[in-house]
Amino acid sequence: MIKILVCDDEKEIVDAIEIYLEQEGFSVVKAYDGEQALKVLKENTDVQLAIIDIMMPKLDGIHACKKIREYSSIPIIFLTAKSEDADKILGLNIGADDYVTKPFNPLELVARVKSNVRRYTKLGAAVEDENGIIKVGGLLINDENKEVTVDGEEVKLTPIEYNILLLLAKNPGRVYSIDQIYENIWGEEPLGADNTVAVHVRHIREKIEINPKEPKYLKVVWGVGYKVDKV
Amino acid sequence: MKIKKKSYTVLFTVISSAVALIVAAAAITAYNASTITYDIGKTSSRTVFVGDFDRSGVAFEDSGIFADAYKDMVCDITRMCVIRNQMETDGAYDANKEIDIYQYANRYKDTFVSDAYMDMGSMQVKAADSQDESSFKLSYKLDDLIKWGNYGFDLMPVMGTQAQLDAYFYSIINDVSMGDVATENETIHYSSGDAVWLFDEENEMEGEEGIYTEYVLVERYKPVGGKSLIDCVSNRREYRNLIRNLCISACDLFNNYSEYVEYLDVYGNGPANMTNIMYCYQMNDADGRSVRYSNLPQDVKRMSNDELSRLFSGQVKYICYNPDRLQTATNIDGVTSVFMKDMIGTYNYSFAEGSRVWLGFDGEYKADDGFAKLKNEYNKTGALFVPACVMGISALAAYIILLILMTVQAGKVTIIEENGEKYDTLRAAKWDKIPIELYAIIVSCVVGCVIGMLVFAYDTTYPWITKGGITNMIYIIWGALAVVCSAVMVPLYLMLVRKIKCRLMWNGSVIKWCSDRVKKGVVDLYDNGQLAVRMWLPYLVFLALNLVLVLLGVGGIIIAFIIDILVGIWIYKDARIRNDIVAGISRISDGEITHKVDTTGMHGDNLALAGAVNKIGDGISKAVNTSMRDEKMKADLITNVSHDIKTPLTSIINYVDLLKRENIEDEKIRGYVDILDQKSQRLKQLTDDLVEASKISSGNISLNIEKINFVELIHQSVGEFSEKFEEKGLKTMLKLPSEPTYIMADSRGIYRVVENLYNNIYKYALEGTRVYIDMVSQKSGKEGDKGTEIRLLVKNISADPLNISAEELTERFMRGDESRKTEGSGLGLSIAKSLTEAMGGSFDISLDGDLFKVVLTFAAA
Repeated sequence: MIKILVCDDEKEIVDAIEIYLEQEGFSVVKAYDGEQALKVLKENTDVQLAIIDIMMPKLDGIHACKKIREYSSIPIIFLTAKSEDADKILGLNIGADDYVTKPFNPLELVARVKSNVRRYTKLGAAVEDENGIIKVGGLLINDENKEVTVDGEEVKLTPIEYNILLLLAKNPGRVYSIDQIYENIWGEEPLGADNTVAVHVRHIREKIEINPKEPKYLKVVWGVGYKVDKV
Repeated sequence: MKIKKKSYTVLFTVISSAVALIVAAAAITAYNASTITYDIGKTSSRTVFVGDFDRSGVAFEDSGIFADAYKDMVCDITRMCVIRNQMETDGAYDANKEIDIYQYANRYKDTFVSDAYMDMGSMQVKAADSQDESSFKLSYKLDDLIKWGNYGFDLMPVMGTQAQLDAYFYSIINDVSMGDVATENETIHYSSGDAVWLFDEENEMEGEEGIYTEYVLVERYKPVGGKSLIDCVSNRREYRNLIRNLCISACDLFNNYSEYVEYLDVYGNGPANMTNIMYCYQMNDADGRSVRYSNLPQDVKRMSNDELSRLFSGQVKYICYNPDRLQTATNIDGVTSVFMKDMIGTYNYSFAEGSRVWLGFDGEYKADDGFAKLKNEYNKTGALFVPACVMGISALAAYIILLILMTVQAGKVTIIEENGEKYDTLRAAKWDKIPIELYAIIVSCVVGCVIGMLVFAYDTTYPWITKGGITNMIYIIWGALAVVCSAVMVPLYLMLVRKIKCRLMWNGSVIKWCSDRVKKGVVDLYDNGQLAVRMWLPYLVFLALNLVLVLLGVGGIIIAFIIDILVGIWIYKDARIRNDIVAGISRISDGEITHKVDTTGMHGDNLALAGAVNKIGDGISKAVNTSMRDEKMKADLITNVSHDIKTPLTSIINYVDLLKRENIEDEKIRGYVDILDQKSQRLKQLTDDLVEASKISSGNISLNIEKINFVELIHQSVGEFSEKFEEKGLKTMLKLPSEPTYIMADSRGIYRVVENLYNNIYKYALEGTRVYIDMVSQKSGKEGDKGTEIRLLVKNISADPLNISAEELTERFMRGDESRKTEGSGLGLSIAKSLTEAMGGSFDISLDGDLFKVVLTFAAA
């Protein structure tokens, strides 16, 4: 059973998260401040993921994260009411793997936990380096059998959706406008561009992303186009 | 508060006065020690400055002073010998000696003609006349001539025409009866009372040649041989010459006689101890015989020239001079052949060929003469000079140091506050505040008095000093003067120093007071006077001044011209200041609310105007600052509060979700849970929107403005919302340009605007209606903007009647009253509007019945 550390100074939140995670088959160790989290981590060396609140008494999440990173590389998900971009960037820069803002959707949190755990346990070191496999973070596109998996879970895509994702993933970092995507996929001049491509992209996002509004793989560059980031 | 003075003025003044006294005393002593006043022979006393400071080792006989004194004495002795030659026969005064007056009167030949006898009235003697009569000879006894010279001549004037005079002289040439003559002059007596009148008084203008006067001598003494003078001459001119020669001889002889008597006492061979000098002069007498004059005890007559030379060469100091060869043998500094030649040259008549001069000094000081006294002085004076100089200079240095100290300390005080705090500062005395002008008058008076005293003291003491006596009186006078000068001048000087230090030179002066008054008066009039007075008075003064000056003529016109130029410059300056104020106003109105108009140098209306402008600017900037601060505080408050709300909200959402997961049989309870779910989600949305709205409106967001294809964005956004719209049966009608249309915006910001618009439509549009989304590119409607602008028009039909104004819709927390029941925070449109404006665009809502229309306008990039 995979053991997860949940640390928040609000006991009810920790309890709720525990319920969700246990329903998904994880076991949970709890802590209510930074120091306690560090102590619990030392006692339970088999913890494979930590969910840590940033604003906590005694030792805040940022410092706790730094301390953990001194000896462990387990995935850390920050949980906080701070939603500014600067806060997120700081958190990710000091070694956190993911970031969930309060109030969060419990299902999203669980999905992120699963995703991070899978990557850490299953895919962490075992990179499939076969031909025809495109890998963007946890997103794998196997062009041989037209299979797409996100953090090991298979995703069903329509052929057009698949082609769009493939196009973007083959050229990570490059931004494709709607017209360019249309030309590439349909192979013809767009006749009075419409929102077809945009709808398809949204569908792809809904399938491969945990939170389609904050996409991790297929990103929207508003007013320019779409892209898959280099990881 | 206690004030402790640190200047010690009184103490310093007393000390400096004492030092001044020392300086004066030292100066007098040094002067006394460095000068010798001596009295050698007949030469009047003279004061010699001893130039050499260190005379140790130089014997008096080798000093310059001795040489000078010796030379003075040689001159005297030479003269005495010449006079002896005139008066004596065989070394003794000879009263019966016969003096040829022609020879004697002309003894200087052409080398010297006494001016004194050149101008004897109408005798009009020419030097040339004497030449002709060198052959004349007329002798008198020496005694008679001296007496005549002593008691004077009597001359009787005879007046008449030339012819009458000639006739008169012709008649008396053999008849000597001249009558008595009254006296008038000391030596030559003219008498007009007993004058002989040769012309007729009634016929004064007789003849053309006018009246002449001839003088006839009253012959008190007869010449050797007893002849009358008249008998010796053949005409009037010769007679006149004779009288002249007689007068010259008699007067010179008398003067020489008086000198002779005096010299003989000092240098003659009377008592041997009268002089320490020895001499022997070999010269020729009137008859050309060689004679020797000496004060030697030996019988010099029998000695040969060589013997005498040997004798004198053995003396401590000697001069042996041979005029024939211009040879001088001497051991005295400064005695040269030239000196000897010049000295003897005056008496060439006595020093014919074969003359010799021997002079000596034995250095034994047997006689108590000038040399003995001089030697005494010489040895005495040097001793005090160096100490006096050292003392004087050090006292002077001390005085200067004291002055510097006083200058530094002047005005310094230490102030001790009651709390014990001490600090140094400068403070002027009460009397320092007198105006500088008064001070100047006092100083000039004092300086005048001091100069007067100095002059008086100098005049008083100079004769004493030159007489050689440095008496105690001189010390007292000059010492007192030094003390008084120092005691008076030092406080005045210190007062000046304090005035300068405390900046009281200009402040407090009468001139400043006057100029301040005038300036204040003018400024008062200009700043406070009535408008009419302010404008018309200067203008009338200006006009009147011009008129008056022009009437004064060219100079006036030039002055008027200069004044007009100055007034022009002043008017220009005034206008420029006003211009500055206008510029300041426009800067403030353009949003630079912290701008201030510089009011320095402004007066009158301009000052009031500038002050008002600055006040307005202050008010605006204060208001803006307050509102900015309030907005920021509000944003911070909202952010903090929402953070606090978020934590419990998380629990609520989570537990509601957990509840929902329970298989609740009861429909009713499930309904409740659904409501809880909805409301907690709405609360979540509300807090997020609240934070965002307050951040945007307080300018607390960072925007990354870049070039964005607006058409692409609309396609993307419509794609995002396609399913939501379909859900409500809303059909989007796009009318977009086919080519890319660029605007400058933050990509996430502009999507947020569009997203909020669409959300608004999704929430409030009537189901099953069409949503029109049009984009047009058109000329900018803004004034002064020539670029094109991109307008996005979004139109939809509202589900509920819109019962509020378009403006109110974008106010925060505003929605149509009816729509309050539906989800949403009511902040969507407000956020959209704020964001659009933050990105430089405009966001306008218009309502037309149920038609809800939003126009987004951006400048084309």
